[in-house]
Amino acid sequence: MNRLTSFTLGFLTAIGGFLDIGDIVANSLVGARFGMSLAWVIPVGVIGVCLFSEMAGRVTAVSGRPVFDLVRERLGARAGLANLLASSAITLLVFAAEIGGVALALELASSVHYLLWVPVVGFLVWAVIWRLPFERMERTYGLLGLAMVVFAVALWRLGPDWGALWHDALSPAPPSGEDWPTWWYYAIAVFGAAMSPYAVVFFSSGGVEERWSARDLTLQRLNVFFGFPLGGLLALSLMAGAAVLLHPAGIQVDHLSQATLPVVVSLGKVGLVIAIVGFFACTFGAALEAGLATGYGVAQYFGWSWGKSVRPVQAARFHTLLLATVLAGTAIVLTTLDPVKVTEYAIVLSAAALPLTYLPIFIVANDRGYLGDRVNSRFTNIVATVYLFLVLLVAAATLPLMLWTKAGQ
Amino acid sequence: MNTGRGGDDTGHGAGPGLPRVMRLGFAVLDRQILDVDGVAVGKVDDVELSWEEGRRPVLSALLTDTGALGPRLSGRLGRTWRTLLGRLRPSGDLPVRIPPDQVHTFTPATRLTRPAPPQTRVVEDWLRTHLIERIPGGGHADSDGQ
Amino acid sequence: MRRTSSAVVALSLLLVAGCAGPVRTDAGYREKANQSALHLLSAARTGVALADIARKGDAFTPYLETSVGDVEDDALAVRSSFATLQPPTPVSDPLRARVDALAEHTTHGLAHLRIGVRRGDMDAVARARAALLLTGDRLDRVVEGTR
Repeated sequence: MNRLTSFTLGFLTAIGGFLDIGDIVANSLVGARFGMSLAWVIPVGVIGVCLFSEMAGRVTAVSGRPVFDLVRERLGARAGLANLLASSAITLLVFAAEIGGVALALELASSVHYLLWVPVVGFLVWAVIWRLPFERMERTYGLLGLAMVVFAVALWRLGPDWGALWHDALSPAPPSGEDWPTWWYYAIAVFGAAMSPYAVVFFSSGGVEERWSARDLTLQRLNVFFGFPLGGLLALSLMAGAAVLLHPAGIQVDHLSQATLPVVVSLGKVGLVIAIVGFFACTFGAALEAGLATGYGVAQYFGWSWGKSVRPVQAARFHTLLLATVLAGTAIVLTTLDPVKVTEYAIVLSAAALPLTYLPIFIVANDRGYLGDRVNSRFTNIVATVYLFLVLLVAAATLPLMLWTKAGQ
Repeated sequence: MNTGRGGDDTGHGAGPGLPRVMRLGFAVLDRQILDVDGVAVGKVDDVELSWEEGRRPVLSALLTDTGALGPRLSGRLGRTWRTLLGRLRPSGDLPVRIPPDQVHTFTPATRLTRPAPPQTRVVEDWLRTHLIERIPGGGHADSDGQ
Repeated sequence: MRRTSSAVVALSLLLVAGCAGPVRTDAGYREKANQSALHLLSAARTGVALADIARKGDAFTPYLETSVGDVEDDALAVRSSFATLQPPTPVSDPLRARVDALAEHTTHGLAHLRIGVRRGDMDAVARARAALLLTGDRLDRVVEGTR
């Protein structure tokens, strides 16, 4: 494949793959409830995820090893294990939320109750992990995810007062009837959804599966620095659509169906079909990523052979673990917990656990033993330090805010 | 000792000139072990030193498998881990020992000069024959699909 | 570790308590009424939007059925949990009667909408829309009045 095609594909995949059930729920919900007053969180999150994904990609391309393979070497067995257990638990919750999201998207298309779809979705996720080649898997769901552009088109067709939207976005304060703690709680939710830590674990292990080398570094950086911000624009249009249509009407987003309203109102049946395809692709793709991320993390900690590029019989423990993850995730959704609520908790807890992912990446990306002279530049380190403070602050504030606001009620 | 063999790095086998120094915690512990074919074996979960009266301690083995990890984890996490693994595995099962003369290099990963000891593959083999091999498509790598 | 687990226990207890805590003051009751009215308002207005979509033929029946069913379930849940709340003093009785009646209107309106959507009966959809619109405006006033 020539460089340009490969860049275009990777770039489009980065845009389409950016959104998941967490982004869909968080941005629609926040737009409906708080208008554009929390829009500023999206760029803050996107810059953070670009910064740390680039580091993780660089570590992988230069050392040929995924970041979390190196975490145990650098942080030691105990800190590594504690990190692994916490991250895996949260990633499993995210995985369950994504499975629920796929099932809800299928329910919207079929009116067959989502719980009946859950086992089917679980099986499909496993079958794709088992059989579909890595690169094709990434491309398929990333490109299909571009269907989410329909939310940007819908926003434009709704013909909002752009000046007023911009003005709202520049006045970061809770709208009348909402208090500050709840507003901050949802700021954390949007932040956690944009920073999705499992995606960074997946990204760096995926680099090993695709055999990146230092030569791929430029391409990888372009994908991250252009693809993710455009993905962030889609997140912003989800929020703006809800802010324009749902916020004035007093409609809150408790269901996936309410998140589709801006598209259906402005684009009708065609918009609806495209939006459901987009939801399906984003949630299914993210389910694959979160499922694999759990497997990668555990296998890399214990030093098992892992990966989709080796035959499953040569990575029996890894594939058994993936099977167990899929079963556990499916079981969580089958408890009839509301998938939208599971998603809310998953993104908020992801936000609280952000230091577990981002601190090790920062440490390894400054290690000359692995990276030689490709360690972080001074500029990167300054920005990254600011983000690490931010992430620690978020981690400390999450649980108190969750208690204070009764999880955002 | 031959160049390129692990003995050089361990610091006790002095070649010509000064003995080389190696920090176990940095260069050995928690590193990935790969066998002679580059297949992942596990991590270096602990190291074993032994000595005779009046002589210097010598690195006598690398220990691997999750059981060996237990004693290294302090606090509640470590205790839970040990109890859990103690229940799961048959009693009297000792960690797998890899003598340092089977090590080709220590960093960045521990490479062995021979196939991995069979005990390291017990779980992997059991899962393969009882589960993974029985699922259709288990023998195909990713690239076969293209 | 021990501290973390007790924190988790405390957290879950508080969350459970937060959902179904008893109301001891009229101010607390007003707050609950406000929350219930907010959720009912959201359900009623979603119903209005879906009725408009249905009448323009802008969506497929499975989508409409699912979406109306989602908010109908919500409204039923809010209605039953509000009904179980004990008004602390007679001062709260008028508020209780008002929200209770509006909750009933919301669930009825949504049920009629669902039936109309499923039968493809656009006249029924239009009637349900008008009823939900009215209920929505009244709920809006309750929300404003209980802030």
